[in-house]
Amino acid sequence: MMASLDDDASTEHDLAELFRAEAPTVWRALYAFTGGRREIADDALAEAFARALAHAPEIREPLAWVYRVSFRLAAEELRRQRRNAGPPVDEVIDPPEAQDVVRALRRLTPTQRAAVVLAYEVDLPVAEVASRLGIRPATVRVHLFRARRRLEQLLRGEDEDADRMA
Amino acid sequence: MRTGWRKALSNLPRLEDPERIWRRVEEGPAGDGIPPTPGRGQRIAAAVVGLAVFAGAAVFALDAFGGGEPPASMDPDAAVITLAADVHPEASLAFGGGSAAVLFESYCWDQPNGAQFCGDVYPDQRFPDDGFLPVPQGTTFALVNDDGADPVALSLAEGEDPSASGLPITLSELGRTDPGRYVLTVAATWEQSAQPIVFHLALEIVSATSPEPPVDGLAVVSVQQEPLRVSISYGGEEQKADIRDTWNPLTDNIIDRPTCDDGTLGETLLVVPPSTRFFVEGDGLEGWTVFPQPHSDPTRLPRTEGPMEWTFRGESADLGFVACFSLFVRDPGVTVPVPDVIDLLDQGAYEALGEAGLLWDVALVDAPDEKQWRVLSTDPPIGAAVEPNTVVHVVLSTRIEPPPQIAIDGDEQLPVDWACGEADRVPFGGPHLRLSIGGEAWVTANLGGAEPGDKVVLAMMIQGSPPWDVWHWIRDGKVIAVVDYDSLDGVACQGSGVAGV
Repeated sequence: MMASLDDDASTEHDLAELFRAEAPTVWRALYAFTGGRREIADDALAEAFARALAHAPEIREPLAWVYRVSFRLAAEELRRQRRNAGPPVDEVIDPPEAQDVVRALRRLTPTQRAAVVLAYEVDLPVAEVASRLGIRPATVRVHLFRARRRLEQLLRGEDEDADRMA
Repeated sequence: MRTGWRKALSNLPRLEDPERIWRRVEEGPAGDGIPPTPGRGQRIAAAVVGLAVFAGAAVFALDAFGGGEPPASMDPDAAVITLAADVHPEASLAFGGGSAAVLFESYCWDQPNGAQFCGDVYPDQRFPDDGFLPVPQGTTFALVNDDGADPVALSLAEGEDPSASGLPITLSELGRTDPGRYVLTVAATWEQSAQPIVFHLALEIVSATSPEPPVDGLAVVSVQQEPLRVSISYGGEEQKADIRDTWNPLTDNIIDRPTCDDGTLGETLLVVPPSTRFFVEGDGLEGWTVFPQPHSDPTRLPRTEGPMEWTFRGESADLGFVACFSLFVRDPGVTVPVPDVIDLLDQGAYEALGEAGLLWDVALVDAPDEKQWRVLSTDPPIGAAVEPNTVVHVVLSTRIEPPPQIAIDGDEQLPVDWACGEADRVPFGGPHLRLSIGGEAWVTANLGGAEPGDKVVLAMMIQGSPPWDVWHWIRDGKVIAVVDYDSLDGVACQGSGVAGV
């Protein structure tokens, strides 16, 4: 049962409960969003909850708040790495059985990755995915449509781009 | 039963050691971006040095910084100068989601293993024109110096020359500098370097107020609060913004606000000339920023031609928001002729159209007797004078496989309630260029021919290999077209106008 904290301003105790209940899901979405960059997912999750804890009395919807903040932090970190470093870091993917799906996820846009995980792995309805990602439900549906078709091709060993080049 | 890719998703790793993360949570927020773990920081820094550009620049006098001036790094609206030194030294200047171009002077840095790394100097480096970070006059400047550089000295030189000698300046003085382009030089000393390490940052101080009141030729961004409504108008046309996010500036202490960068254009694009100046009106608006910022003047619309999402980020005392506009940037005063691409194959035609500064989309007609992918016709026709970036509709020969003309709902198969007989149905091919918008608008906006009152509904979704979605285009309660969602190939009633049929 998910902690129900969206009705009133949260407390530190509430946030600890929320962390226990939701942190694994937020982390998986962040892991997908960052294309398998485990350390960025760790950092963004920790920093978002830390900020939530610092502002606990004023936050009325802590789960939505944590999603928004953690995704912004992760996006900024990815942008910072692209600007500064060019090649991605944290290339090690584990566990080994996740390598194929992580590589396939990296061929999607970050929002597609997060939408796929939230919708198909966490089993959230489209409206909830939209709320957590801060985008419109119609946009989520398009991201999901494109993402699942692409994943289907990639995980079958086909590459759409390669097909088009042939 | 789960399909292959859904099974694969279940292999994604799970959060390890949540107690460790929670301990970090309890340590409190870093307040500005993600505090990197040591391992990650080292890898990032190594990559930075691998790509860094080192500038030749004259030596300038170092002066002690600040004299005890307290940093204001926690102000979420501050322009933040960051110094870092995980493996190698770094400096940056960030404001409003943008960052300044950075040039380094040569330096040597002691490695933990006792070796020394020295950065080379390429003489005569200059900042790119779009590298100057616009910061409104009056903005607070903050210094984040987590890695303990000491002392740190700032100096400022007017102009764009990174080798110019600057005058010492404090953080508080920076915010009061007159509008103009400057080179902000930061000199910092770390224990790993015997000499101060010098960074040059490209800064542009801009006027904090909007330009003159609106006159003809200006775009106007209007902000109304309670309820929040943001719009842009130009040339008698108005577009309401898509509000993507709102926040409370008092509690949501986040420096990196989102931008409209998900490639989801709205359904109606407002046509504006490149670099059009805009004026912002709205009571209670305390600050705003726009993205992208291709100009040194942040009061101009983008100059890159074509369709784009444009971000307007505003903040009043109690409300921050991100408003997304869908613009088509185009110069209305210039025309070019449509080149003769008849009988060319598709790639040759695209090349000729592209060289002429035109865009194109493609309609495919079922022509089994023609050589495939030959251009049969264009609209506008060959030789017509059109504005640059006009979309030329190219008709190519091909062999079309239209989607099935049945709908499947679970196991039940339903006939399509066609508005026309089979003899009046024409196969068509999807366009080559598409706008990235969502839902049924994807179909209607890209195929063309929609009329007021038309509906496009998802009629069938086959989870297969690959999955296949089919959409019905309905007019007056009857199906006038059946469209494959991804390829946008389909079949339509002759005369319906769908995809030009």
